[in-house]
Amino acid sequence: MADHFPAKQSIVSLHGVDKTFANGVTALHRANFDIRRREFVSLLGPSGCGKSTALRIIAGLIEPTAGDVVWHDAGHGAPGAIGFVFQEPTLMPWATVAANVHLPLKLTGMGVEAAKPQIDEALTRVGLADFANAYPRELSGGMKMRVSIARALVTRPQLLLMDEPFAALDEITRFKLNNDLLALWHASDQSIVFVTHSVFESVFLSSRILVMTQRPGRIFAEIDIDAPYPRAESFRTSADYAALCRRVSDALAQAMAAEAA
Amino acid sequence: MRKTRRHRDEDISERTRRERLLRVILPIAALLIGFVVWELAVRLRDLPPYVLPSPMLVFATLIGDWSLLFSSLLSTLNTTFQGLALAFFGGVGLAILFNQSRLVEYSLYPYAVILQVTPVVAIAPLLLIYLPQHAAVLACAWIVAFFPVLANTTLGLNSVDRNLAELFRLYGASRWQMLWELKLPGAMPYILGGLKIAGGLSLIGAVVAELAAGTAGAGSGLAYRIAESGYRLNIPRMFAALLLLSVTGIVIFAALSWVSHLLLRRWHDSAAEQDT
Repeated sequence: MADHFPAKQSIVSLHGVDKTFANGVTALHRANFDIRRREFVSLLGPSGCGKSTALRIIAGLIEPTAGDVVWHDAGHGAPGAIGFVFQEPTLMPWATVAANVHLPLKLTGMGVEAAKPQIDEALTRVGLADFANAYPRELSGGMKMRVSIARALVTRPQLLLMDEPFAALDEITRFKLNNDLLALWHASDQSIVFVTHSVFESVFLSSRILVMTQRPGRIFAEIDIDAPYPRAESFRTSADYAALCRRVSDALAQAMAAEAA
Repeated sequence: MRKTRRHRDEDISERTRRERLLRVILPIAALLIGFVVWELAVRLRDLPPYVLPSPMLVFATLIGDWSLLFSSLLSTLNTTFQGLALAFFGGVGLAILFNQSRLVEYSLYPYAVILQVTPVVAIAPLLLIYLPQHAAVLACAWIVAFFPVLANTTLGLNSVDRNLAELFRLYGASRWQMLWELKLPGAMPYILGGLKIAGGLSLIGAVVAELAAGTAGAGSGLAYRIAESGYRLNIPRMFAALLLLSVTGIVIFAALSWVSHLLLRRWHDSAAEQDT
């Protein structure tokens, strides 16, 4: 779909971003990359390579030790401009599904009545309209993750950051959520930054993949996945998909070797 | 012959039902046997009531002295619940203050611990010198009951899910919102656990203070009744008052457990019905 690759306008740029933690571990080393409008970009790398750190820096949850994060979007900084989905569903167990999804709006002062259309819309988009009054403990792992995604979507963010959101789910549930996430993204004008350690997941979802080295993580390669959207389930078994997976897999192997050398 | 799935399920539920019934019946049976042995021992050895009253006599005294004992019970309950309320609001309030300000926590926490570890029996006579009797008794109930609330609430407020806290920060939550929307609801199971302990302790504090005040003679609670009956060698009434006290303790614990269950059953594993 050509309209998903417009003028490649950047939303945010990272320039030479370093992050060294208080315990002396350098998680990120001279990270340079852009996030562009309406793209689905994956940060792919081994565990502990600093992908989550990069995501948290973009979210503003932690400050970089050196380097700059430059926003090109005037709307940045407003609460709810960024959505964040953690690896765990991270729901409030004492609150209903609707109340959990309401949270980001509530924190900006929007009452439950005013927020109701947005809550309903977000829940409908993730297919949980019938579960508004359920409590998290009554839901399956996949459903909890859907609630978490609905909560991130409820503010209609320009940028959705996802930190290995499906890593803890079984494969069948993960495939289903992959498909649904692509449909969600396709129907919106959002950009998604998706952290994963799965080559197959990143190729299936992304329009672009940033391959990272082991710690201290830096961007080793940038691979455009130019397979057209919408990508159906049949894409998973296509020869194109296999070839792309091999390419990304090779890049990842080189990235691991580059660091060891 | 092999049983069907349904039959086996019925067998299992039948077994659990029997198990549950046994857990109710056996303690009651043990109690009844104890009473019978006690009653027989008193009758066969012909023990005088001022040495050991028989259970029948204790129950008779409980009914005969009911108006006196009941007004004493109300007095003790009054102290207990006032102490518990003070302990609850004081404990939760102080824990919130500690959570919001390290300085306050560092300054006051050691003294909260000291208050807790110093035996209340030893503090009570001093309090009775400096405070009016009702206030002194109340203070004792408060001292023993408030620490579990404080300690548990502090633990609960500090046990916030780190990712949830980050999420709140991402959406620009204020300090107040962090506390009210995240920390306090998350601490509920801890607070209610502390409250359950505090209920029993508040009763103990009230009783200890009444006993300490007992010699002053102005008291009217159940513990005072016990002390007074002791001086008068009215042993059956001592037993009756003791019985009433222990039933009170059980009822307070059961009531607080029930409140806790009602508040937590929808979301917390500790209280949820085991149906999933």
